[in-house]
Amino acid sequence: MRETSQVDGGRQITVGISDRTKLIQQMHAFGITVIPAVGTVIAVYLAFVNGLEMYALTLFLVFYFMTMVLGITVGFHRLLSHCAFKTGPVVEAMLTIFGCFAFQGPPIYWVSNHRRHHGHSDTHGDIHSPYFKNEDKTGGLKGFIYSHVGWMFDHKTTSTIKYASNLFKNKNMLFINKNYYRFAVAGLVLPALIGAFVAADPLEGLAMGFLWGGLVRVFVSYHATSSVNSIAHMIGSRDYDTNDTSRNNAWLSIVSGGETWHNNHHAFPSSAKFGLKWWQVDLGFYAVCLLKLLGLAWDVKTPSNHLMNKKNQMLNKHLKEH
Amino acid sequence: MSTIEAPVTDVFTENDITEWMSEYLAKLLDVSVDEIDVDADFRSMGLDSSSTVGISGDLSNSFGVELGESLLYDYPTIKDVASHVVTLQ
Repeated sequence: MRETSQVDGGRQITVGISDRTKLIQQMHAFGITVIPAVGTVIAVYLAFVNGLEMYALTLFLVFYFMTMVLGITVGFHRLLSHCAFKTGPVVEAMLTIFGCFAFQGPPIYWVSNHRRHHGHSDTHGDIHSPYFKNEDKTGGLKGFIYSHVGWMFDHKTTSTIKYASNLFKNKNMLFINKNYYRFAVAGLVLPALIGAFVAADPLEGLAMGFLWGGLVRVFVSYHATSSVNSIAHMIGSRDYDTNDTSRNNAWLSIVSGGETWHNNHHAFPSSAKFGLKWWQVDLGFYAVCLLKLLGLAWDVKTPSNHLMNKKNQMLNKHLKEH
Repeated sequence: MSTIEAPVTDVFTENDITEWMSEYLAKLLDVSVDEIDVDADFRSMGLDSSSTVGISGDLSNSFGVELGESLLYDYPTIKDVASHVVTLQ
């Protein structure tokens, strides 16, 4: 007699994937590590030799804001991974497409990896800890490199069914997820076309738009995001007692869109607000506030003062005991 | 996801697998069972590589058969999976 089985019980956190899929993942990791870096070297060299036109800088800033702030921290992270606020399907789709511009993987893959990170922070189940390389302990410079870029080449694939099954119910999400590469490439083509349109020399505009609005923007957003996995688990200050090594880093807060208030985030993962003190600059939260002001976001979650004080007191007690 | 029961029986049929897969995917994708096409490719439903391996694991747990992680890759429709898995008991 066969017993009744439960499909959501006893699931593995990682799944075995085919050699072909693994190769695609590694090629993707190689591509995002090398190509934007080469493009950035060329762009910076050309800027030194020929100067940097205002339209190229503007394209960089606008597409960087779309990618890092609206796409990664507001879209992939605060909205999709943590459901820290609610929005309508159009805004949700736009934020998700902007997240694809970052070339950090399809949204369901990104979200499942991030939820796994929170479930196993700085233990052997963590996908990108500076202290664990899969099952093995690591640390120091090796740990920094692994958590910053290395994990993308050899990580065990996270089960999307276990960690992100809610996203499979969303038809727009499945469409964007399936067409991830198309949207990611569109994030390179769009600034190139705008550059060609606004520059005096269309060919030069095409190249500068591609470099500054495309490759340089991907390079900076890639390392800003990676610094949360590496630096923000190694150095910095802690305001709250969390069961991990998450730390706050003010110096990276602007470029990361508020992501590097990382100890705050691990203390209150479902909060849309990462910069919890008035002076902690958090562009991602400001963007959520703007959406709320426009009536495009609601049910924005933030921790109460009581809860913040309680967690803060726990840290002080912990520090006194040790 | 909430639970889906496998049939309480010693021997399962192609139909049992088809029904389980259809119910599982209907819950996962938040659609009615009638909307699940047993001849449709899993990729066309929006499933990624990781999810197909996860589903294979859940199917294996539910029916108590050893299934390879590439099951849904090698047998890309519900009909293909059902006709293959039924031969493994």
